Amino acid sequence: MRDDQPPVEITVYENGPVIVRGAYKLQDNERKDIDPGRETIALCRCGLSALKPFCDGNHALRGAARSAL
Amino acid sequence: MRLPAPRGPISTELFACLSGEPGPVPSRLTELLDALPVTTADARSDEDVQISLWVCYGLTYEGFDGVDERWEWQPSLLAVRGALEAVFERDLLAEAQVPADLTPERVPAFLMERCGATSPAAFLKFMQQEATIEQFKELVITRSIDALHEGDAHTWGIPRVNGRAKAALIEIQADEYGGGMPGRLHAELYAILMSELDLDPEYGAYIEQIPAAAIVLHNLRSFFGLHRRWRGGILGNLAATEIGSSLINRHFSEGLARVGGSKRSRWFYDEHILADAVHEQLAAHDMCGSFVADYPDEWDRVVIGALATLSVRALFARSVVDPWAAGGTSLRELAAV
Repeated sequence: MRDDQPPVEITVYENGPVIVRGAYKLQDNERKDIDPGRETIALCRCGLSALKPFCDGNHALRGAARSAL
Repeated sequence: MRLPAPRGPISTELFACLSGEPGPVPSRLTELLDALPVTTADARSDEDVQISLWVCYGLTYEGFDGVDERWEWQPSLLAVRGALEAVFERDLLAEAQVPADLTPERVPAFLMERCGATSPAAFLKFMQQEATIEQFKELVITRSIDALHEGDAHTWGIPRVNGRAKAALIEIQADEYGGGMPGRLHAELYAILMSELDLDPEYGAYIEQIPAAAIVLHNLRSFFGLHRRWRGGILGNLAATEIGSSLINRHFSEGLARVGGSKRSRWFYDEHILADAVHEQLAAHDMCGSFVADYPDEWDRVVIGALATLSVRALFARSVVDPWAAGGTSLRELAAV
């Protein structure tokens, strides 16, 4: 991170995804870049997303179990 | 865009006026408006009220061919709009009761629960698994009056709130407008969806066929967006639109793929699956949560805005599903010329 850049901001939402903002770089486990297509992204935290690593709102289907997140 | 055809006595009088110079409106129109609280049972689905409101608000968006631009701020026109809005507000509030045990601190969680759970599940499943391409086209036509202006009414909220809520609203709005990249605006993605389905993407092209139950989706946003006292309401409206939207759009995308819709036609829906997974968190927590904390006297407006939005969305879903279940169309018949 360069000194003149604000830090990457990672916010954990209760019963929801992790939201990432700032000058992050997203990669898969082979270190290949993933194009997020937008500046602020939501990353899946519950494992239910069909579009991992991104959140697709599927956590809403967890019902009562979601309170565990 | 031309003025639409009137749908009752009020729109008949109003649209006739708008063809002339800005000035007083005839007493006949004023009398009709004075009687409106008695003559309309539910302004949310009243064809005459909703088409009249849509034209009043339309003066503030892009205007109409042959209508003098000065009508937008003509006091007599604002009085007409105010009378229409009074019954609209009355009927919105009747369907948007804030639960007695709800506290401001619980607003974000309440929004996530209510707005996430009340998407009409049977309707979504039908679109995903059974709807024909013709029914998809109908849905795209009816939603066009709102979707081709996606984001615009919420932008009116920006100068009316400050601090954290403003920052969150702008973060969402930047995305709605494609991060400032021409061709990526969500409204433009909707135009692509229409073109791919061989529909006319020009705003208002299908207004004559679109029922009040769909026009009200757009009028509701304009009403909240244009009144500062409803700044909490426009935020609640945006939250109710974003929360649960990822799942709704996934059903639509999968359904459209099933009937042969191209990848390009599904871009609008696919974009919303990912974008709204971000937006629903920002809307509930950063935007509405901050507004409720920073504007404690207005916290209930956020809830009313969200609940009113859910009520008109349910009205809209019924206006589509009921005629389909009866083997008919959700569109209005075009008057024989």
